Parts: sequence; C-alpha cells; structure tokens
Amino acid sequence: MILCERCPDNPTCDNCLVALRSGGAASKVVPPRTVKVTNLATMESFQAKLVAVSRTTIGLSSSDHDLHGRIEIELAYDFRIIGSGLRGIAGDPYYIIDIEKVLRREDVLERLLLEEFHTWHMSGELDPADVLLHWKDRDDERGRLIKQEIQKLSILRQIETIFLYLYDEGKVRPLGDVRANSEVEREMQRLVEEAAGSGGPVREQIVTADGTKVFELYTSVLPDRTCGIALIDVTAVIAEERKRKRREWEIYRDILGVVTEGKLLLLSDEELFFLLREGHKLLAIDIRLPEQLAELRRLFKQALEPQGISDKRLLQFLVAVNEAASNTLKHGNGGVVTLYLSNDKQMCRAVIHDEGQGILLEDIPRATLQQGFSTRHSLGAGFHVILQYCDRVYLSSSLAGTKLILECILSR
Amino acid sequence: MDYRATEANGQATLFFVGELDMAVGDRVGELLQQYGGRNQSVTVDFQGVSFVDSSGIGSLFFTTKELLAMGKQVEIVNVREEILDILGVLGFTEALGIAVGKVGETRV
Repeated sequence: MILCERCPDNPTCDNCLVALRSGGAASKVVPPRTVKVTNLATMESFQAKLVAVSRTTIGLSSSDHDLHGRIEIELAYDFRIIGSGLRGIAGDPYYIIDIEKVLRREDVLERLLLEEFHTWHMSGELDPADVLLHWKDRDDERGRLIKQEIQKLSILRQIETIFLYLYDEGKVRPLGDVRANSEVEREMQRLVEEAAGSGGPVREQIVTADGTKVFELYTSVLPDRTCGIALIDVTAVIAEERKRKRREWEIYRDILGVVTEGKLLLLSDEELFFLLREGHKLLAIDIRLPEQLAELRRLFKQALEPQGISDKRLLQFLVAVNEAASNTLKHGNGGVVTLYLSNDKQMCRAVIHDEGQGILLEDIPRATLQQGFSTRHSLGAGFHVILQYCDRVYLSSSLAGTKLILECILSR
Repeated sequence: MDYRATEANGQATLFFVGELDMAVGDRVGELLQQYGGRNQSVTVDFQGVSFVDSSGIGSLFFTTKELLAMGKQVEIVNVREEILDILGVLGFTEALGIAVGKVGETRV
C-alpha cells in the first residue's frame, strides 16, 4: 500500500477507507492532518497523521509509535476523540481507531459527526505550530484562543455577549465587527493600559455611568505577547444571581418565622426603614465598653418608665436589650443602641446596630436559635433570652453590619 | 457591683450587691473561685442582686461547675423573684442542678 503522502497523486487508491470497514460513509482527509495523540495507558503524547474518517472509526498513520490500545486524539482544544487502536493494514503503519467518544465542547457523542468534522477540517483551523507561525495574520485564531481561556472560568460559561479585543503596541482594537459602546471601550482602554504592565491575566469590572450594564473585563497574554481582551456583558447573570439570593433569603425568613411562631423575622433594609418611620426616636447611645451597659439600662429605664410599662416587663426588656448590646461587644467593637417609641405610644423598639461584617444567611439559624454553654464569658443563651422577653424580634444583616430590632408592647 | 464575704469553719458566704453584667462577670467568678477554693461549702447570697444577664453569670456558672466537680458544696440563696425568672430563662438553675433559694427561703 502506498499511503497518505502520495494519496493525492493516486486518487483511485482507497485502501485506507476499506480498512475502516465503514462502507461508503468513509472519506479521506486530504491532505492528511497532523494530530496530537495520547496513549491513555502511558499518557505519552506524540503526533500522528489523520488519514481517513468515518462516523464510527478513523484511520491514523504513525511510523514512530504503536497505536494499539486506548488513545485520545486531539483535533483541537475542544474537539477530541477517544478510541481503541488496531492495526489497519498488515505491514503498514496504519491504524484503525474504533471511536468510543467524541468530546466536542460540552457534548459527549459516540459518533463522529462527519459534517462537523469536514467543517472543522475545511475551516482553516491549523496545527498549533502553524498557528504560531502565522500568528500575526490570524485574528480569528486569537479570538478562539481568548474564548478558550474564558471557558476555563466556569462562572462565565453561560454568558452570551462577548466582545473580543486585542491590545497590541499600546492600542486596543476589536477582533471582528461586534463591539461595545464607546463609553465602555474608553474605560476598557484605561484599565487595559493599567493592567498591561502586570504581565498576567487581569479581571476587572466595568459599570456604565447610568448603572444599567455591568461588564467583566478579562485580559490574557497571548503567545505572541499581545494581550487578548474579552469584555463580557454580565448584567443578566448578576440580575439572576440577585434573584436567586433573594429567593434563598425569603426561604430562610419563612422558616425562621415558622420555627419561632412569628417572633423572629428577617427584614430587608427597605422594610427596616419603613418600620422605624412608624415611631419617633427617644434616645441613642454608643456602646464601646462593657462599663457603658449600666448607663444604657439606666437611660432606657428613665425613658420607658413614664410610658406606663410594668416593672416586670421593663426589667425583661432591659435584659433583652442588654443581651443584644453585650453581643456587639463580644463579637465586635460595640455598636449603637437606639430607642424608638411608636406614634400611638403602645409599643417601643430598640435598634441595636453593630458595624461588623454581618451574619451569613446560613449562620443565622445557629446564631439565633441554638442555645449552648460554649464560652466562659457567656452562657451562650443570650438570643434565647431576647426571644423570650420580646414580643417580636427583627433581624437585618448585610456587609454593612447587623441590625437587631427588639419590639416590646408596653401595656402587656 | 459590690460584695461582702464571711468565712467560718469551712463555710463561706458571699453577699453580692448590684447588677451582674458583662462588666463584672469575670470578677464574680474569681471571687467564687477564691472563697470556694479555701472552703468546703460556699453560699452565694443574691438578695442584693437587682440585675443579671448571660455574661454576668457565665463565669459564676462555670466556676460553680468546677467547685462541684471538686466535691465542694455550692448554693445560691435569697434570689429575688424577677431575678429567678431570668436565671430560669437562661437555663442556669436547670443546667447546674444546685439549690437556688428565693428570698425568704433557705433552699428550694
């Protein structure tokens, strides 16, 4: 058999196709393509020539390496075939590979889609060595490599709107016709210039002046030392993530409400604002030291006694407020305690605001409902007391800190 | 918070007066440790205590547990009704399993 290199000069030879045993569906690869082959038993990688393809088998030529056993054939970064090799023609370095899997982007197929293969083969996608040789002339290849880098960032895989640019010799230019608006491009140019000196990949965020669009900017240094830039519109993804977090928050709010029979409620900042508008402020105290707790209790007593609250009820409310204020000292640098009286004077609310990093949503049940004797400095029962002695407790926590609102009906 | 103490024949009595909160919690525990260490039995008199919270009695709780483990006797007496209610909500009395007496009673 005269194989491959002379095949174009001998179009009547079809030995390589016959050996595939795929009938008329097989076709020659003209000219043969150099592909990377990895022996999956030894993980040794080498090159071979792809000579013929069919839906279920492919033919490889390799005079240097034995292709028996399981191998992976890499046609491109996102186009791989896994199969088992057998000698195709006795006496020739020609192997038939039975296809087990075709890995194409996120799909796994058991057959090679010939149309797709031919599209790939005819598309001008070259061997990596060729790509490097003609790098400067191949913006489409640059675009592909930038996207390939981006695919490594799993969070960005769902993104549809990607603008590709190239930073070369101090200038940013788009790869292709699709580009972002000029305001975003100006900001991108500024960030890329700042990032150019770092040499490594850079990830930044750009928000439009009107706040309606958010872009992720991702730069990657390419093999020819230019810098590939991907600008990704993540507005929809962020909106979806916010919705998901809001749903999660609502689930926690509902569960806490049920478990505490409506006594403990999570509150958004907006709801908190409207809640406190229902009353007027009587006093506010900054608590930074344990010694200030006695003064806090004295001032609360002074403010609430004239409102007709019973001694027992007042003491219980003072214990609850005191516990919450103590927590701001135990877990941070203190906070501000504010007392509000409702407009109808039937109810008071104490707001304990610490400026810590907030409580993670998933930690709230443990922080509020679990009673324990964990530390020497506290019985670990502070929140239990708060829930027992207040008529209702609201909790609002964010990165700006935690606000606890303790509600007490004065006439009870 | 102020305190007064008496000691005789291996029996100490601690009279606390004032408010037991975070600012004095450690001091309360230290005093109990000190008098419990050199006496077989300690009585803590709460008649003068007008306020307690979890931080104020946290150290008292753990020190009491340590003394009980050493075979000492500890009791808390003359606790005002409203303070007893707080101790109950905190789980203090239930967890310790010691005698806690209301005002006017020696023990419960």
